[in-house]
Amino acid sequence: MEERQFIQMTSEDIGGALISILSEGLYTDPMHAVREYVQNSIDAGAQYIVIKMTGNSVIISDDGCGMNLEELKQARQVGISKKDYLQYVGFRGIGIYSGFGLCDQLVITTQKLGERHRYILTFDFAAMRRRIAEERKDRSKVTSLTDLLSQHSWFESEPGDPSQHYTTVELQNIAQHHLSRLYDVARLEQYLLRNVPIDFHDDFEYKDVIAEELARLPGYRAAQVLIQADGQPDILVAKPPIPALAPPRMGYLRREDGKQVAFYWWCRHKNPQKIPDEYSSYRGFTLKLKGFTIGDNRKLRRYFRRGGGTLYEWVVGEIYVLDEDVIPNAERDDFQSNQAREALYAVLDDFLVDVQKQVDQWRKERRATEEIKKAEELVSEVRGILEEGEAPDYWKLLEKVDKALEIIKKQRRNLPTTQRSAADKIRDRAKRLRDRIRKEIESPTPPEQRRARRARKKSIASPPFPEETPYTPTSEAPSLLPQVPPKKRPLLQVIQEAGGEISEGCYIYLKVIEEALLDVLEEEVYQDLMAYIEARLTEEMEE
Amino acid sequence: MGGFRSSENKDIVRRQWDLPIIRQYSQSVGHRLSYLGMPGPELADLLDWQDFLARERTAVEGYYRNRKSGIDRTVQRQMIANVMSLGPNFSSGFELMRGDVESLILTGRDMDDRKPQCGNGRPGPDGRLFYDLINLDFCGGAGYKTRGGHARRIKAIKTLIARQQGHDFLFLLSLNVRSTIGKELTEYLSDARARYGKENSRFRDLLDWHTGVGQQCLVLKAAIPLFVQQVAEATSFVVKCYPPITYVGTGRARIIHFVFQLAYQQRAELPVYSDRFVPQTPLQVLELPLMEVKKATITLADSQPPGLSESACSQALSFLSEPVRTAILQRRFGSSRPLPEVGRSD
Repeated sequence: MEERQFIQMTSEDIGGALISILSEGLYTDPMHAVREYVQNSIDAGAQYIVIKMTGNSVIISDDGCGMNLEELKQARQVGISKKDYLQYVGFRGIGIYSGFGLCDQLVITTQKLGERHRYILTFDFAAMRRRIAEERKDRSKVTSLTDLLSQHSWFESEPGDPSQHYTTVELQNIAQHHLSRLYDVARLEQYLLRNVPIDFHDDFEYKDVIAEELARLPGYRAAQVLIQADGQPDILVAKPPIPALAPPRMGYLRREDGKQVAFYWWCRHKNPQKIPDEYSSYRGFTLKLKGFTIGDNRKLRRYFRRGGGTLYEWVVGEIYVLDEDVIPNAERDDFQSNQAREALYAVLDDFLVDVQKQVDQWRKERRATEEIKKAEELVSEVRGILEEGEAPDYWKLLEKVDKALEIIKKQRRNLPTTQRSAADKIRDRAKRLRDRIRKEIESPTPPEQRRARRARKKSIASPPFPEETPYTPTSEAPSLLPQVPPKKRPLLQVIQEAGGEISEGCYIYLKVIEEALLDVLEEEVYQDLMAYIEARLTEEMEE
Repeated sequence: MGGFRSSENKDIVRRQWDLPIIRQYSQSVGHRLSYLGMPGPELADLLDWQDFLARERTAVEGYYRNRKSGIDRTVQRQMIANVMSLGPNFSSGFELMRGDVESLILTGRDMDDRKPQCGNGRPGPDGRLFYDLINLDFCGGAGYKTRGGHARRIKAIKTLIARQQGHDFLFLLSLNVRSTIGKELTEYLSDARARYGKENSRFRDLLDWHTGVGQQCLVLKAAIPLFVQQVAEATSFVVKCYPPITYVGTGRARIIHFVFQLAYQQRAELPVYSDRFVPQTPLQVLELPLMEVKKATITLADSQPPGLSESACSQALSFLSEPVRTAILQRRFGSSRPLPEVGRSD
């Protein structure tokens, strides 16, 4: 043939077996079919879906918008869908046939708001399967796909309630081996949580604040699913209300070129500990694409590189992929390999490393705060003994003060900057106590003099140590000690007080540096810097 | 089967007759009642009695063979669609068993070999049921005798009571008065006459009246309660029978409807609601009035056992609210006197 010939294909050219090949090839597990029908419900705007298993039937019922006859006819079409790829998960127009190999009959009953009738579409899949099997044996007969579907599916209508809207899909006469798999409701629950956009449990503390943001994502829809199985208690499938979480952090992730590729939310545990074991499948981050999960929560653990990823278990969060060029693979455990995927992973790497840093920083700050508090208690204890004690064991007191100083030295750098000056004051107090103790060891005060001093002290009541307010990293952290207006201490004085010697040559340079720092730094930051320099110098001198 | 549509008279029986009995029973046992029955696609039982029904509700529904399209599961499909459209609270605990109810009772399993939720599912005679309310709403009659010599429906009633042994329940039974076991019924009543009437002429006279008037519904009025009482007592139940009520149902079929309260008696003490539960003698069963739904109203039927007194009627209808009871009695006895006091009978 020299010229191209476009020869018209007819409906006879497409055999009925195609539906079997497609559906049985795509939906290899009975749960896949349930997922498809639940997904259709969510696409129909359902917020509440019931999966009822009674006898050998599975019924998926929703409070979605329902269908009129025209829409129901469109639902029967194969490979034709008017759903927008970006807005809906189901867009291939094949999902309705996912129960083909699973049940004998599929019955869809649907009622649209305001319609006087409800419509019923029935597929006799058993008859279709029989026919296909017969034709496999007898090759002389071939039923076209169009004929197969036309002859074994039918529409009916009956009076409906115009005030209601729903769709009920009933898969009748499911084979026993499929049925037993579906009746494993705990497994079905886990499967649904992973594979369909499930809403948060109403009791989840941050449901509304996160849901408000999620609602802005293109195509985001979620529903709660109730599983009702004969002889078993009902199970509400919803993202669980994990307790004791800190408020969520949310935001969008962008590539270097500025393209928005994902939305995230995450919460860490309120205390420095793992998300409880019963929620272990939610620890860390879950990748979501249009509501379903890609891989599982272990997938992104590798980005938490420090400490074997321990801190990954302290957080719970989700990352919703928004880049339409990122396409899930068939197994839904990763994305198809392309540039968009690589770019996404690069962004995720940066993001998750940053999250780990934040959590790590918070953990250190939290620990440092607690340790400094211990040091403060030690110092107070020593001071109390010195004030009250008749003949204290000065060596033991010295040991305690040294311990407090060691803690402060070790933890100061991990404290939030706002708490460092308070820690410095505790350190100064500790040092003064150390000097006093050393002096007592070298030349003890006579008992009469000590008693007289104690009597004098009693008449001047010392102010109590302030109660510490709980540490809240999201707000301005309180100082451990009463706040005093910062006093500008010149750099030169700091060096000298720390025992440093300043040569004449250095003096001019240090003066210039000091003035420059005063010019460019905020007063508080300047004071922090001076405190830090002082601490470092003290450490150097001591060493 | 329960696939037929409800009728206006049936609705009256369900709402004005059964409902007060169910309410009183539920209140006396102190809990909602698990249900086994044939509510039909309209779910009338479940909707009308829902305030007193427990989560565990088992509906039995068969399918029909249609020459054109083979197996027709329309009724099952409609039932499911209606259940689901009523929301998750309604669908929770609802189960649909497929097949005819007699088979379910006789085998303990439905056509898919599934056990009902309130049953232990053991095969054979060990299979137990634990329902609080059972409504066998047959549009057919008491049944027909098989070659093996047993009327299947009658056998199912016997088996049901045996399977419920040890569990108190309320048993509602509706039958078309037409059946092909008329002869067997007469024979059964002759046996009963010999058994209970030997030294009780009143029993003999009443039984003769029931069989002699020539109305099938009066034969059933006598036979079914005596049969249930006999079977139940053999299974250690004591029985209270409410007055039977007859009505014209779907397709102008004459239906007779019974309500029995069965209490298992092999226990150290009588149940706490024993003050409401007065087991009857066979004579008291025959003395019960026959009720009828006429012109959308519950009345006393025209044919009543000889010697029926107003006080006996009032006693038998004590579960109804006073205005309803008064209206019924006034229609029959035409008096405006205050009602005789309803007390415990011995």
